[in-house]
Amino acid sequence: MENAPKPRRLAPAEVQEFILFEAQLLNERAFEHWFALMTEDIVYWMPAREHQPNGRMEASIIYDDRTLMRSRIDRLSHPKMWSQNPAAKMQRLVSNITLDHDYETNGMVHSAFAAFEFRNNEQRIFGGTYEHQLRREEGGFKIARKVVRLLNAEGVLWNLGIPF
Amino acid sequence: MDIAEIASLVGDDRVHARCYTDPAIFELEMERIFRRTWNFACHESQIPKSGDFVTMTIARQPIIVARAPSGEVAAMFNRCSHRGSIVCREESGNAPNFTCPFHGWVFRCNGELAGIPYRESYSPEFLAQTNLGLAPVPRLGRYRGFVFVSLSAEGVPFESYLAPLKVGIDNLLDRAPEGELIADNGLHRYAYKGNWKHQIENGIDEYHPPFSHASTIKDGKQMARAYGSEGFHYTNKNEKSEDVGRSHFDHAEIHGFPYGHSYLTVADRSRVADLKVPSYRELLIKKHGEKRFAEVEEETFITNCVFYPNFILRVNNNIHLRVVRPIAVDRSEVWVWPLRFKGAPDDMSEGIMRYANVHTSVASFVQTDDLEVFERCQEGLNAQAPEWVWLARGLKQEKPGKHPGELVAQGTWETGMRAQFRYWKEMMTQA
Repeated sequence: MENAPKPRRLAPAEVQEFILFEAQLLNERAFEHWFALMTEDIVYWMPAREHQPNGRMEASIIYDDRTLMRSRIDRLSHPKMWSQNPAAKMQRLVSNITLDHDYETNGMVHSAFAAFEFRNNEQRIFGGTYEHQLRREEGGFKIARKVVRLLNAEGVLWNLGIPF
Repeated sequence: MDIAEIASLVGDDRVHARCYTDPAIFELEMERIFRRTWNFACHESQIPKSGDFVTMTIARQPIIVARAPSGEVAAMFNRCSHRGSIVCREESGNAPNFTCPFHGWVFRCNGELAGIPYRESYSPEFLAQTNLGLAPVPRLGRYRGFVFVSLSAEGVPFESYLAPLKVGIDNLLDRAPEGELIADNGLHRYAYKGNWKHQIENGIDEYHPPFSHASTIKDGKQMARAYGSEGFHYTNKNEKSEDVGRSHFDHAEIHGFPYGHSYLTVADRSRVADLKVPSYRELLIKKHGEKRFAEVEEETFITNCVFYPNFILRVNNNIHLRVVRPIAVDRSEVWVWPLRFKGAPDDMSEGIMRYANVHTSVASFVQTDDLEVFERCQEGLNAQAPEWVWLARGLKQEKPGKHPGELVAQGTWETGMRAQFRYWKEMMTQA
């Protein structure tokens, strides 16, 4: 039973508020404000399979550094991004926000999300988990790494327009 | 549907909207095109070891391609010979044999029957049958690691089918420092509410990028995506391409061939960025020698090879295998496996994956807008008027090429789609 899962500590209010604030910014399509939460060396990753070791040598749904993230956000305000014309509305619920066992050294926070999207008269539901690696900068939190593990990452997917 | 009616749907410069919307035509396409010609199945680097397998559907039929202990590649239908259950649920993996979950019939990884539980209740005559294994796919064709299957015992020979596009496969392998491609780097999978032909036509459509992909262009230049590239100009000089008669992409060429095949060349050599990367270049010079390397550089001019009806091979930059799987007349799935060159520097392979993620993922900067446009086409084509889709760009202005039946065209001409529909008509009018 050495490898038995151990309960994680509930994240303190300050951490939970930050994670929920990030989700709020995405829900409200405040992408520039969202981008401002990221560190210079941000890695924003949505793996394409469950046990994918990293995004470097293998296809991912998203594997953005700062440059690609900038392009992603620029595109979201482009009037000719046809796949977001009309734009999708999204509502994310974030829950189960807990601290990694090594939070003190790695700043890692685990959470679960459910997301609802409405576009073109169609509602879709997504679920999965987040891993946030937080770093204290300028007196507040910044996100150094965000991993979005979509429950159906290994399925045949339909267009995903807005970041999760 | 009689032959004359089908023939009337394809003209020299137009095709009828029903080709994309009529369920009866879709059923006939499965029967007369997908089941009779060749379909790309997999790349051998996906099944390197004995017992490795991949599963797929071709013409909506479940198929297993596996590596037998002898090293041979076997293709068979994923259907228990007893009562019909699929015997393998996984998309890929390794198994010494396939066991049916229903009554436990066991098949070897080359499809042969290995065992039947409680066999005494069968007559000796029944057990003596030789066809109790997984049914083999009628024809298998292999070329330098690329595996194709045909669901029909008769039809165009594999060598003839492959001949026009061999050049793309050969060039890719010449650019692999260790002479091999690796297709086992994860994949992108996407679906859209549209006909399969939207995707296969898109593989040779260089008229659409400045418009469909407008959101990726900043100051006339598309964002840099390829490894070693600085991005390329999308428009002519400083003018908007809408305002000038000729597209930047008209510097490229479309080559249309028999069997519905086509390939597209690069618009300018500055887009072939990876061969300029010093560490990679050195590996290839070491492999080929200066003289042959110069030729390989010269031969690196293809962007996409489009093997009709189901396969697009990306030969440059974000090299990949892309397979189109028709599901219904208005629904398709597409599977994209990024490739890397065995022996190439890791940062180059990482560059290919990076490009793949922004190009072919469902959250990419490019594919997303293509998919939106495919769906808009499917919706629009339900209109009763106009009846026709125009494929008239560059008609009868093409020059003959080296290969029999080859037509060479400017990059934005609809020569590739016309080649596809010529073969479509040829196949669809054979009862």
